[in-house]
Amino acid sequence: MAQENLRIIVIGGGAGGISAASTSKGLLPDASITLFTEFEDVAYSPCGIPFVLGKEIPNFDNLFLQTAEHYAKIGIDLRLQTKVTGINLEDRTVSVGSEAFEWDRLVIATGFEYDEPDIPGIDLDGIKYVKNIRRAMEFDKELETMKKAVVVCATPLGIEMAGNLAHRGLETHLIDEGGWLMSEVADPDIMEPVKESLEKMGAQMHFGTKVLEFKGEGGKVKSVVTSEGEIECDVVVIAAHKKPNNHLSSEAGIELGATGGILVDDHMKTSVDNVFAAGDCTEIVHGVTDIPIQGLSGSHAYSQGRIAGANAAGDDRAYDPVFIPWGMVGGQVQIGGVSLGETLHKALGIPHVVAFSMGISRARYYPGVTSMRVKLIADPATHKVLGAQMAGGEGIKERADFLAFVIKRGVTLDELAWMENVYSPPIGALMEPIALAAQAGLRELSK
Amino acid sequence: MAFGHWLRKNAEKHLQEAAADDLISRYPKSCEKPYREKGLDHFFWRSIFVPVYLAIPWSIRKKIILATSYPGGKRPHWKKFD
Repeated sequence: MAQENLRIIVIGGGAGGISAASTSKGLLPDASITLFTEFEDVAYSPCGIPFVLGKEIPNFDNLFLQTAEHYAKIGIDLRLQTKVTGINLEDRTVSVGSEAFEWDRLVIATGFEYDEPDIPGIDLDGIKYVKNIRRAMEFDKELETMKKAVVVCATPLGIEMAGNLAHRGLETHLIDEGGWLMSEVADPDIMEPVKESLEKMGAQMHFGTKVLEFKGEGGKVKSVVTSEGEIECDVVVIAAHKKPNNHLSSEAGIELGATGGILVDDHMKTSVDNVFAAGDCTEIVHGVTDIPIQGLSGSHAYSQGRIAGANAAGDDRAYDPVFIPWGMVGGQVQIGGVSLGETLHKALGIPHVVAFSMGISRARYYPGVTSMRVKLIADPATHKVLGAQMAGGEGIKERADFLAFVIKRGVTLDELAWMENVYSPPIGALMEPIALAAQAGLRELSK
Repeated sequence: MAFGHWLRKNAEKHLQEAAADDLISRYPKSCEKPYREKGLDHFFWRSIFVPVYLAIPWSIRKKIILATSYPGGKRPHWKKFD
């Protein structure tokens, strides 16, 4: 079949879907590219929603990256508010109700859905999930008259929502069963400054606390009953874990892995010929452990979409296992890391040594200087860096990106300890905190 | 839920809880007491699965994890980093 006459269908209008469609179109301008999304919009940043709700960003318009008209102009047939109801692998069609659309290549980018907790009262009005921008716009208006909010689960989204609702002036409570913020993936020493910062902003923390029931009046939530008492509220934000949205793929017979994500190879090919997948609906191999994982960031989904879109268009591109540099702002503190922290190294039982440093972000005399905690995790036998976590006032994201490359290239503590670094008073200190942590690691190993 | 999915979900939860308990003793000032579900099934995972899992050397454990991660133990092609 001539590549230029290909019919490519993309299901999903998030980062993975839109980048797949755009990449296919860029490589094969004459191909027919159709993208289906059940939602009203494409190409916006859902990660920015908490910051608009918190009045850090003035309005939702700032979150849109492209218009639907743009995609029509470059020749992508965008079907908004059109829910795909089935995938037929034998006939190579997707169905939308009774209508069938044929494809030669299919890209599945159906994203995630929240793991809705099984708690009495979960269906009450006023219980919110943060995902869709239109629902967020409505929520923003409702917040004008609200005074008390409860955020359930201290996930990254939960932390961002707690900080932003407190910033907006609401009495805010953050409830989590763990013993510290993001306790499943982040380390307690790294998260402590975030907790302090959120408390300073007025948010109240409830760790080791289980939600037992949502109570309401007239169908609307009024309080949250927990293992530690009852909290009155006008609204509850559920920041639960995400799970892959794979109802369509599972029903069609596309193979899923142990995480529930679609099994793909490094070309983002699924178990079925000519069917590709990208983003939160897939599972991807972790670069350090080789174990498949699920639920990465928007930038991962975007890159995977480009690979899936290119290969669907007949190209031959591969995606590497992931090392997952991450970063965020919790309260007024920047935190971030790469790969696994101390908590997950312990959970998996991977042999490791932990090293710390306390450094500074600029010359010690320069206005705006902030302290920074760097924690490196390394293999005690080879000294290779396996993971990192950091907290500070600035410069965390850049270090996380750098350390991801360090780990990918197998750099050792010995090499990092004597790395060269930028010294310029307004932007960098004489002693690089990463090098200091590596030196501490070598001292620990020599004991 | 497929067996691999069920196994991973339960193993992850209880291994993370055990790791958290360890970190609480290492960083007591940064932690509060976490909530823990009670019951026979949790007793099994905490008192039998976790100690047995952690007693197996990492190199063997990793092979078991990978074998149970894929249907039929067949891993799709991905680049390997040493």
